[in-house]
Amino acid sequence: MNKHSRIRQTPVESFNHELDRLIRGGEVSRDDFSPEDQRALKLAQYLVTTDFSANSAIQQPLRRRLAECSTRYPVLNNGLKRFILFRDGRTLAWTGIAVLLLFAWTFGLIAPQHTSATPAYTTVAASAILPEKSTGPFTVAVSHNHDLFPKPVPTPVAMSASAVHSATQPVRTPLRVNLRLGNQFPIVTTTNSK
Amino acid sequence: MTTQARLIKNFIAVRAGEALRGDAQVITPQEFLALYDEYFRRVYNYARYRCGDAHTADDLTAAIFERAFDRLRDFCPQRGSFGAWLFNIARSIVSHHLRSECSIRWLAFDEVNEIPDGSPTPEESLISCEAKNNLMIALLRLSDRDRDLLSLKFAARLTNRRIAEITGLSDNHVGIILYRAIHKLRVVLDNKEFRNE
Repeated sequence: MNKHSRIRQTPVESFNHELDRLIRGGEVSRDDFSPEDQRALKLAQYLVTTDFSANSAIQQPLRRRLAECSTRYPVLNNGLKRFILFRDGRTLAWTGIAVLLLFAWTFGLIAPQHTSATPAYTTVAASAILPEKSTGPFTVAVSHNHDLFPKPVPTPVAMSASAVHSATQPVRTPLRVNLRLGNQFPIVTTTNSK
Repeated sequence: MTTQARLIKNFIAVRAGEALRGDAQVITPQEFLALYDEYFRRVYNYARYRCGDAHTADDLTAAIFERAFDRLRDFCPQRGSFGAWLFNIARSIVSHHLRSECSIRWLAFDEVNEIPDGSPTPEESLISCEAKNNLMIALLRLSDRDRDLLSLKFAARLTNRRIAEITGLSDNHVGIILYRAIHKLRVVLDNKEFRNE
């Protein structure tokens, strides 16, 4: 510090300059401070040299723990951790992936309902002994077990009391056939799934 | 080359590589442990100055280094030194702890009977131990802001500029607060009533 800069400094600035010297391991370089400031600087020197960490029992155990973690860290970082941590643009990417998955699941693009083992056509027969004088009209509805609204199949208007009807449809198993008399509850329900 | 310089060099190289290849940052265990060895004393003393209790200081120090380890990837040398970044974390953790503790702090009984560190004679040990206890009690009588700045200055050994960066104050303001705080601390330590307590 030159003479001019020393003159321009306020007592507070000079004091802080000495504090910086102390924390860098130096000593107080000036003796023109007021008695209060000099005592404060002695206290500052004591503060700098006081070390509470010598009695700490945690230093070595914590070091070992960090050493263990740091040996695992690169492996995690290069692998799963790197991928699953939400950083930078990954939050957006994960949100997009989640929306796409939800969309695909909703519209049946994933978890396919068609299986290659399923034949293109299958026959399910539903038979029922109908009450006498039942003249119809009968309806036969073919549906999959999970369909909410069975699709009606054209049937003959008049059928005998003992009717056997079969439906042949391009279907996906499992299949359910509902034989109805008018709009009543199905007389019989047959399914080809066990 | 110091550990910090090596880390920064490695970090820049890694970040540059990441930009090109999309690779992850690689921090060697030796580098982090070297940083731990370099900063442990300062971090521990900072925690101790702020909270006053040895066991709490142990826990806080562990929490500080663990969080630093977890967030090592966030450290950016362009924004400031590793020390400033680390003490930012330390300050955040200690402040959070003090807030959650509702700021009623007690000096533990075992502080008074703390084993002094390697003093040659029992008399000197006793004096040293008593002086440390008095200092701790006096520090706890200061305001939280004064204690925070004194801790950053003398325990963490940061310059006023670094302290200003961490606290959001100006350099001059930090200097003035420190000047007043250390005078207050001296007055508390010189107070006869305090000594007779």
